[in-house]
Amino acid sequence: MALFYKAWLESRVRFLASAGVLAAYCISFVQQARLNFPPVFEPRLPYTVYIWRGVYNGIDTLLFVVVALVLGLGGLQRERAAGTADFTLALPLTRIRLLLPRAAVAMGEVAALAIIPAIVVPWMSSRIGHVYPVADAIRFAALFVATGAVWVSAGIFWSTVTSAELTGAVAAILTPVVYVATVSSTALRRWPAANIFNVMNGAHLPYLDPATSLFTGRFPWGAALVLTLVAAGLVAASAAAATRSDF
Amino acid sequence: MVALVLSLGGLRRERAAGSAGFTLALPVGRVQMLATRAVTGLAEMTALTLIPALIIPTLSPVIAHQTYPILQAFRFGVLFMSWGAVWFGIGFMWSVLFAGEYTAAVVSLLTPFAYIVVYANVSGGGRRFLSANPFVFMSGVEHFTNGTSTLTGALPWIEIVVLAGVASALIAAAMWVSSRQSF
Repeated sequence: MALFYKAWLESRVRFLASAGVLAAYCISFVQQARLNFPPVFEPRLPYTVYIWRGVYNGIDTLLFVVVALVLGLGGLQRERAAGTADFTLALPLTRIRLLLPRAAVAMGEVAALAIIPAIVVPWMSSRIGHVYPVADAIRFAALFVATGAVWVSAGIFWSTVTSAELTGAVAAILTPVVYVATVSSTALRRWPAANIFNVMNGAHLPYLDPATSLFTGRFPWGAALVLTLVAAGLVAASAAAATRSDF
Repeated sequence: MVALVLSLGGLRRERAAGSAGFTLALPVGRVQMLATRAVTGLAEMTALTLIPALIIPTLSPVIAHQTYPILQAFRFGVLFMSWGAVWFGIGFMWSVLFAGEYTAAVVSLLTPFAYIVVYANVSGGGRRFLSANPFVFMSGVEHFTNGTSTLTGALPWIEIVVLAGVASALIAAAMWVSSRQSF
């Protein structure tokens, strides 16, 4: 339990600052619907599509991905740079047991961040006279949790395999850029499900109705399972790298 | 994002790493150290800005069998550089103010998003002060007139000079703060 508390203390500023900005963005975007909805050039645009474009396929998505990556940073390599790695390594625990609580706390924080739009969007929408289905907001939150787990794992991986200061952070932040460039410039482009950003918000995928930007049927459990496995694989790779690192 | 990350580092980070004492013992002033870091960072950012300006006109005929005017690419590069310098200045300031590990990095990365929230509220949902919207300004969309997504008129030099002034003020303020900090 102490390790979970340690991970929380190390990441709480990142988490709380991110939660504040994410909540402020969601509140601000929904409030702007008073001025900007319906758009001048799309007077018949459904409100749910407006929300999807701004929250689930807009800046909010980018913010969430960046925050998830940053929450994954930390660990023994960072402690080595700070000069405290020896104390942590002297604890009667394996390196894997040091890493897993950090991963669990980061995943929990990402899950909490994913829930923010699910709470803010339906609540704020009702305050300005619009309706956004809570069930769909929760489904998007679930997809954000699944994809966020992958980005957290990527952040953990980079912070485990890189030792220079800020290198892990830069590598983590560049990861989605390189990923999108790879997916959009290769044969994977023809397979929308290969793009994690599409899976995250349902764009170009059959489980999202393009006319309403709401879920059409069953929740895509298969995609969520694949993302969970990818995240688990990255954490396992990080654990293997941490075990073999020389301090 | 890259502009913000390039601006991170400096004496506060070195203090956290335990090497600030060695750097402070060098026979140079703090302002000189920060000025060198700012110049290097801005030069790196300029180099990054040139990448699309060089790659797109060069590779468009080879890959897409299309031409893209090199002058257009450089004009967009100027727009990128103008707001990029402001982001660099903001990150530079945060790196001087925050000592905690990752704190400056996280605050820097969250700044554009917080700025967009503030901007959206001040501008009435993005209806006014378009040049203050970094994404609109960097894309040049407010200057498109002929439906071809090209910059046809003169570049918005007044706004560019204002943004350069803001970036310079941020870097100068960071130097002022750093010169008064106790290590």
